[in-house]
Amino acid sequence: MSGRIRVAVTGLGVRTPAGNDVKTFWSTLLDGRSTAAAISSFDASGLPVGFACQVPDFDPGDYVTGKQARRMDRTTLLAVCAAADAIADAGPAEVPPERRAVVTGTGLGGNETAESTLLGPSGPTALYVPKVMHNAAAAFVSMRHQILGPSLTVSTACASGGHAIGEGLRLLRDGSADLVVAGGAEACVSPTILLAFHRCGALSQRVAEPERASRPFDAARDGFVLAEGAAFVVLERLDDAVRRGARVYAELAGYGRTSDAHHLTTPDPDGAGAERCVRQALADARLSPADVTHVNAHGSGTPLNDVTEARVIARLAGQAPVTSIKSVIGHAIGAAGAIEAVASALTLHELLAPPTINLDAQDPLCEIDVIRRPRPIAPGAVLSNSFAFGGHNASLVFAPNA
Amino acid sequence: MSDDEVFQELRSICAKILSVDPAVITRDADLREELEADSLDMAELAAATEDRFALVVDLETAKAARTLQDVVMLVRAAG
Repeated sequence: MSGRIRVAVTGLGVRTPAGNDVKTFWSTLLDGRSTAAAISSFDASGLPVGFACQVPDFDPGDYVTGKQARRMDRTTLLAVCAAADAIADAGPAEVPPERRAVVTGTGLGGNETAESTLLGPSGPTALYVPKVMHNAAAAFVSMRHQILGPSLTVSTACASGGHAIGEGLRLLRDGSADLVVAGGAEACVSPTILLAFHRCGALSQRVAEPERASRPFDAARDGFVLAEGAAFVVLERLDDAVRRGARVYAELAGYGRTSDAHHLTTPDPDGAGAERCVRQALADARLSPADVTHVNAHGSGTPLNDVTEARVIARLAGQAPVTSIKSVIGHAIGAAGAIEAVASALTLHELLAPPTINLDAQDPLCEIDVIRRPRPIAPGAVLSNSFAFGGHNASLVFAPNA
Repeated sequence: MSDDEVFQELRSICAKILSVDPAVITRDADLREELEADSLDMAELAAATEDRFALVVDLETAKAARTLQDVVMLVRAAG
């Protein structure tokens, strides 16, 4: 046990449907205001599902020049702004550039660029490849912040953001870096992706009431609401953070990653992969299921995910109050795990869990304590789950800074 | 299309690529030295010129262009 590197979360940055800064994001979550609405960025009238959770009033103008912005897909713009905020929030760490790292996650990369080019009248510009490549955000973050150590991208669909932060933790633990910027980004609210998720049966059909469509663990749930966004954290060794007097939101204590090896889109109904993932993350944190005081669930609101996940939570940590913030902000695919990691760190920092909205009648198959209103939590382990198409699972365990 | 019309078209394309006011792009401004175009900008300009004027620009020839006037000459020669 001795000599093990402990890792602190010292910076947070977000661009989400619930707000373009951490304070607004957190207050929207606590207020439980749905961010789902009719799509405003393009004409969605011909689509079977024309609503989503989009980032309102996103303006990268204070962060990038017009020329830089032209070279970035919306996914990258969201990432660059959120990462810059996280780094500013962490304050001056004075880590040499060679000892800095960045890990980004995205499921669909530069989707807007890809879609508009492939469906558009003219062919690709010279910017097509650098805009659609999944590593574009890592590249821009490394250039902007002089990150000369590892810069990597993880792509595991809906678990990308969780995996990116977990892999960042490992870079610190294995001595590859002294400061890691890690997170996820996605901008996939587009005609093709909406129709595609609809056609594979993943999206809620509640078109008459978008704000009531995302209803994790509710008996009347019928799928997720597509979203976009980005979130980043700054990770550094806890003793470094304490030495420089940095604010520590939480300790990132454990990371689990497993695979279902079951089906391309549906979770293993026994939740075996998910359960191994949670157990692994807790063991990695040197904690037990009894230590869990809150679960920030994957809680996508699809009929299958929520039952499977609830069973795993009930088996392992049935005592813990559970929230799915996707009820408020929808499912931002490759950004979701990172956004939820930020919410988990804030939950520990504030010792207050945000609510799950639209829970009118809890599904009797989900025998867990889903909270409807903000609830104070005891200092303990906060578990954040991400489960993806492809059977990729990621769990993060945050612990109080003590 | 007259020489000046070609220039006006190219200037508009170039202003978009470089995210600058078209007025700062003169015929003889050095694209790299004065307008800070990098290799990616030059590649974009070449591709956009090909698309707009329906011609094929040899990459080596395109790389040799220093000013928008050079590009005008390329378009005129191809036409």
